[in-house]
Amino acid sequence: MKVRHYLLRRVVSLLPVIFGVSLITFGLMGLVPGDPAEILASYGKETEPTAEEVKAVREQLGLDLPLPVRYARWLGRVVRGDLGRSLCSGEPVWREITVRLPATLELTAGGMVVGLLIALPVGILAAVKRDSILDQLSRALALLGASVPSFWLGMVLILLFAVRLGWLPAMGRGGLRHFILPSCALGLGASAVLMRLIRASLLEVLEQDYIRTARAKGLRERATVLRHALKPSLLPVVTVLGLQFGNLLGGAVIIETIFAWPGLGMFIIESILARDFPVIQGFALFMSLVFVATNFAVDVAYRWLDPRIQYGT
Amino acid sequence: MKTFRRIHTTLFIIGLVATLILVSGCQATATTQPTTPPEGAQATTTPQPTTPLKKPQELTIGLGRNLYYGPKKWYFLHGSLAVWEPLVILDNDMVAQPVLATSWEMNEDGTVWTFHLREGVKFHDGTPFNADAVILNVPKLQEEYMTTLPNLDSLEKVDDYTVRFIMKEPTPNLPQLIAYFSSAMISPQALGEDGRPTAPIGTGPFKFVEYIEDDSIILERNDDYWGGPAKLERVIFKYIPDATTRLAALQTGEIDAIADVGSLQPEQASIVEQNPDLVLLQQGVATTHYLTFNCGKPPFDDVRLRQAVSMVIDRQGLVDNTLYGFGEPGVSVITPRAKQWVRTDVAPRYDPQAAKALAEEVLDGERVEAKLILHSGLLGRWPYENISQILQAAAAELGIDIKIETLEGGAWNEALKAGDYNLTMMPYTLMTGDPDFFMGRWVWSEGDLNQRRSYGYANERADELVIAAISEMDQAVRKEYYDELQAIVAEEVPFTPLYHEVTIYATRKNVKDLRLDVQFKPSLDKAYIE
Repeated sequence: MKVRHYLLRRVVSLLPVIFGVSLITFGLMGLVPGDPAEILASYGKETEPTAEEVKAVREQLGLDLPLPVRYARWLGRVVRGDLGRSLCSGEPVWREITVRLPATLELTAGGMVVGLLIALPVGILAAVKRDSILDQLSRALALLGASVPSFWLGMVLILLFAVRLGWLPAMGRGGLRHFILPSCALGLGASAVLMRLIRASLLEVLEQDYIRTARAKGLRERATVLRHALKPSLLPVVTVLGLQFGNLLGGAVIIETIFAWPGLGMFIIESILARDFPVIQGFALFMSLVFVATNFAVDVAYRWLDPRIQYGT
Repeated sequence: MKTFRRIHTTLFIIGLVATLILVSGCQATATTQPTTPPEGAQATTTPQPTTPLKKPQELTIGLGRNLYYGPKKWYFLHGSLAVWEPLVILDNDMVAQPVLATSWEMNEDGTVWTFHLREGVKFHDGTPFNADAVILNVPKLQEEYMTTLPNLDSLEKVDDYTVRFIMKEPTPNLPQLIAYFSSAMISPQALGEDGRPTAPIGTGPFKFVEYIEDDSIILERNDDYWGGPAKLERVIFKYIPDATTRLAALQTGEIDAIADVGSLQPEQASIVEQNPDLVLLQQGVATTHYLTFNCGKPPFDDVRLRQAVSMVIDRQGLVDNTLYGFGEPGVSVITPRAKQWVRTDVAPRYDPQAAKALAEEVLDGERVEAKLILHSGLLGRWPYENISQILQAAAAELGIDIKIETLEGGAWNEALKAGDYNLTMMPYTLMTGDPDFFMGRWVWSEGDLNQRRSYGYANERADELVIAAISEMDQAVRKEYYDELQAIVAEEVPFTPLYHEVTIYATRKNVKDLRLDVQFKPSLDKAYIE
């Protein structure tokens, strides 16, 4: 009963979020300098368009109408399930987004997996062996991960592992081998925050009473930590993971560009530069859905990690 | 305890610094000139090939732009892919040459052009190419390409292989105007209900197979090509937006060539030259890079200041320093590739002394400010930033203080339209090889670019010449008009050519006969893998 109510409330909360986001995005695009008709008329053209061509594009796309009218028209179509067509390619917006989604999902998943693979063991060890050399090293690693710019890291990985050593491909999306370098480039940055968070959170949990009880019971330290302390300590981590997931899904633009990974990030940047409004709006909508869904998943995860948490509180 | 802490902290800092040095050491070795490799590394920079052996005649080209446009564009794909063909194309001297049209003649007053079409040509779907195909393609194409063909009145089919273009005004240079993109032929069967292509079915030596979004375009040989089948069986165009990654992919062998305008940067040329597995090539193209003035407001409403700025630019030095020698110092606003039109005796000269004297005459010891705006999207492809800094330093000697502002593409366009600038830089390609494509748009006071970019330039004699030249039938007289126009522009400097582009490109050693032409079209029909 409670769960169903909760679910319904979450779904209903989706509507104002979507509406708000789309309104703001539309408004922002209206504020951006430059004549969209001119920019769109130049797309794919080998030379600058004439004034007539620009005028034709403006009329054809209804860009001469006032902003509120254009927003209303767009909203009307969306409500009927029509996201419109890309002004640049002519393909349906929904298709343009979903076709590139798997690539971005892969990269996101890869980045997060690598991030966790680094952050979990290092974070746990740092907490358990607090103030030791290992802990200091983990601090250095986290600092490195947070400060190193991802594009630099990406390029270094390519130059080292692809060009110099020839172990892995330099670019593109293909098999597992193509997957490794971009995931590592993404993962290191992601791991930095996670690492510190796991450490801090675990340390806090280890001070708890029930941990002292477990130790008093005679439970081995390893079991104590892994079975009883870890799960609840992951609560803040899961929140951050959720946020990171949403961010990464929005496109790790830099990594995608460096590795020529055909994902959403690259696509959206190009669409913004080209003033491809339907795509930009469609993407904003899509991201709202992603964030709401992710938040919901995080909430569910909370309950699983710490059964003391109730829904609706 | 305190000492313990201090030792720990010191070790920590040392460890951090050591890691950073180690990692940056790796980077330095790999990117710039080959330095002594770190211990234990291999003696050569040649990597072990790990990519599986390719099928014998498959070529993968890496580009910095996506050449797939989709159904919104008439031709779906860029011409470089050799999937569709035009009636006429420009050769390396920018003279119209036959492709799907074999010959053409003009009537006496230049209002009717008769084109004879090539026989025995089939589209990739088997439809024969003939006059019907031309008539279905050209008018719709004109809607999309108003720039070059505003004069077309109608098309007339004389017989299956002869088409007449009826023009509204005398058009002595029609073959130039319809060259390449302006006469792309798509199969009538592939035209949908609205007359627009639904698929890129052309007559070219390669067929379109597949497009993987933002990743690659896959082509397959057309065995029935009228010019004989190409040697390559498959061609893949890969979209690699980052320049460093592009070159890395060429070095590892993941791509066989980088062959497009701006896809190989001048600073990368030395890496290619020093790698025994790679070949560096170059081709002069029809693009010229200009410094343009806003002549409509001070300080550059005074022609003397414009002349002074033009004289203080060392164009050869610019090419040597910012382009590593890959470029030609500007000689005229018309590209030297248009051999029959370019005038080389009015080239801008480098004379800093004269420039200073001229500026002194105008400014009389005062200093003026000028705003130079740059289009941020162009900076990655061409060294405008470096050039503008060189210009800034040189102009300061004249008493002109240039402030450089980089703007996003849309904002740059707006600033130009509003005239909110004093100087800017931009490239322009003489697509048709015909001077009117420049003069009619830039120099004519009613030219669309002159107005939309607030060049603010109006010269009565120049206007007269532009109008007279468009419909002048006598080529010799036309040449005189354009010669005079080039002289006027060189004298009054509403804009000045900085350099003419030389595109550099690279292939792996085993790729043969892959060349770019003056319109950066790769010779896919001739290339092969050894």
